[in-house]
Amino acid sequence: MKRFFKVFLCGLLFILISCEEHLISQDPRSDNLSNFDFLWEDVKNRYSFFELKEIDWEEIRRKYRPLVQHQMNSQELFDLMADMLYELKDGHVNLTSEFDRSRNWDWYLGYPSNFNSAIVERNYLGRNFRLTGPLRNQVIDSVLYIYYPSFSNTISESHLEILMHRAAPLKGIIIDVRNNGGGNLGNARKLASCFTDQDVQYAKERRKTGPGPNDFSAWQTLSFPSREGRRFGGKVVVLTNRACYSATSFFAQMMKTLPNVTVLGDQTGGGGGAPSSGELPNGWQYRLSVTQTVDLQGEQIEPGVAVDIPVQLRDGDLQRNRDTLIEAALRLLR
Amino acid sequence: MNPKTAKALICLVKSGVWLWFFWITPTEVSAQNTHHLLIQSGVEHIGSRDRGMSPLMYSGYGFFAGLTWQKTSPTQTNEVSLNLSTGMQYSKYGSPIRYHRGSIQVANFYTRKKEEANTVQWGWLMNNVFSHRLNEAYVNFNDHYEYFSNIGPSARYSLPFNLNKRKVFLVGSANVQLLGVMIRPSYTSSFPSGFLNEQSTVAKSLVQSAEVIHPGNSWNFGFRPSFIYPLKSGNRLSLGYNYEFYRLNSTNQVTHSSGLWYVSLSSRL
Repeated sequence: MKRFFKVFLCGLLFILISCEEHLISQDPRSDNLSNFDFLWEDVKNRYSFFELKEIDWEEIRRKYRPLVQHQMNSQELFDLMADMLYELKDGHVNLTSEFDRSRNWDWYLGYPSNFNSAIVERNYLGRNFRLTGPLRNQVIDSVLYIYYPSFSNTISESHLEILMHRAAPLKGIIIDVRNNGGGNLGNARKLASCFTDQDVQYAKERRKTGPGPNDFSAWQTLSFPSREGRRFGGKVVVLTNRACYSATSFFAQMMKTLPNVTVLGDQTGGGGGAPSSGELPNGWQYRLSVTQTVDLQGEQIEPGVAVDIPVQLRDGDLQRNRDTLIEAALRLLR
Repeated sequence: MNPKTAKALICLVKSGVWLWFFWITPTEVSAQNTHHLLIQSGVEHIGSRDRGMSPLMYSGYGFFAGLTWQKTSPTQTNEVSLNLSTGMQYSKYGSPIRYHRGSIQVANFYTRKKEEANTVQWGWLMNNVFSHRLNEAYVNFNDHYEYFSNIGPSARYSLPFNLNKRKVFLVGSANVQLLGVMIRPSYTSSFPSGFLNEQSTVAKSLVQSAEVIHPGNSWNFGFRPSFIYPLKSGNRLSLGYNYEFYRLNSTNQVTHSSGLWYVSLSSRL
């Protein structure tokens, strides 16, 4: 019996150890054409803006698939796939490999910048501005000027409490989110919640729920709450430009719905679809927009959020180290 | 799935659990009952493919800890196990995902003979699993998971023999789950589909997200051989292996295969 037991146990160890993964089917083929087809198919199934952008994805396939060659190297295949994704005209669409990351930045590169960081830093923030968490702030002519460079940088409740306290005796607040490319939507909600005393509905969203072109969920209302701590009930101006994207566009849309807020500058760059990620059989990762967001009038915010008062940065002001948008905001608040 | 059907199924599963607690268990109270508490720890090797995240298989190793309460009577063995594991998995290109998994298993084995050993004990096993995977390289919706609760037949065989003049046991059990419910993320997000409906309560959303597990659309089976060495104190030391496989065909299919090597110390209560 002892011998039987030893043989049995050793046999069991030998058979079972490390064979778990062999019971799962093999990874899919990873030649150039398979990877191309996988990417094209997943974009076809999950991308949310074909109709809005009037893109014929079948036509795109007919254009690019014949260019895929078996002998292409990784860089050539990557460039071809990147060109295909570029056709989506979407800043939330990327292909990422160990050597490159494709992107489409036309949503701001094709437009005036309307922002000069040196002028803002030297002539408005000055040497003695306060850095409350990620929020640079300075009092200018009895107005609190706040510059927020990225919604990826977390705002805490204590940061907001300090800022609301600082703003309380002042005439108004300027929130400058120019060149803020987005980040965490939670930070946008948190900041917007300082300027209302009730829950605010600001947009509606729906997401892809299946591979069909019309497989979308029902529209869901997006809202942000009122902050429990100190709030600011005075006038607020939000400065935007074309380099505002994604969470920053959502922030502009949130603020636009508030009666005491004016959005001024150039429209945002857009980014109204939340991106979701995927992976190709060759290990490259990609992301694509899988939701749609519309404002309360039903207009998509993917192309950008329009401003209440359009203002462009003037060359004459630039030469005098003046920021046309900040000056216009100060005039509104004085 | 029809929400009413889902709700009915959930009620059915819940009823089964309550039935087990209040009806089956008290009938077995007798002087011959023995109760054991098992503390388990070990290492698992895991492979999985979640098509909602990637077409690639991710495999790796994790740490496991578990606690089992076991009641043995002349004709029945009841077990309730809480199992927790965590670790890292990698694709063949080295991309990492972190995983956490927890399960509660409830099992009952019956035998007509009043002997614990050398007999096949038939019974059933209810498996409740929550498995979570996090891919930090993904920006949004970077966590995926599955929850399922299913039930099916189970069998156990115990072979006693002498080792160093001591009676030891080789125990093997196997189980196949046939019926149950599962909840998976929706097509393009981490949220289950029921949570995409506006103005729905959490309970309603959970019911609307539930999908039925039945033979043909999903698989879950496991087997666990173990070697049990009784100590003089009445406690038991055991070395075991626990294999589990499941495939859930939801909006995005997930396949899981794991083998766990563990050491268990059983204390008689």
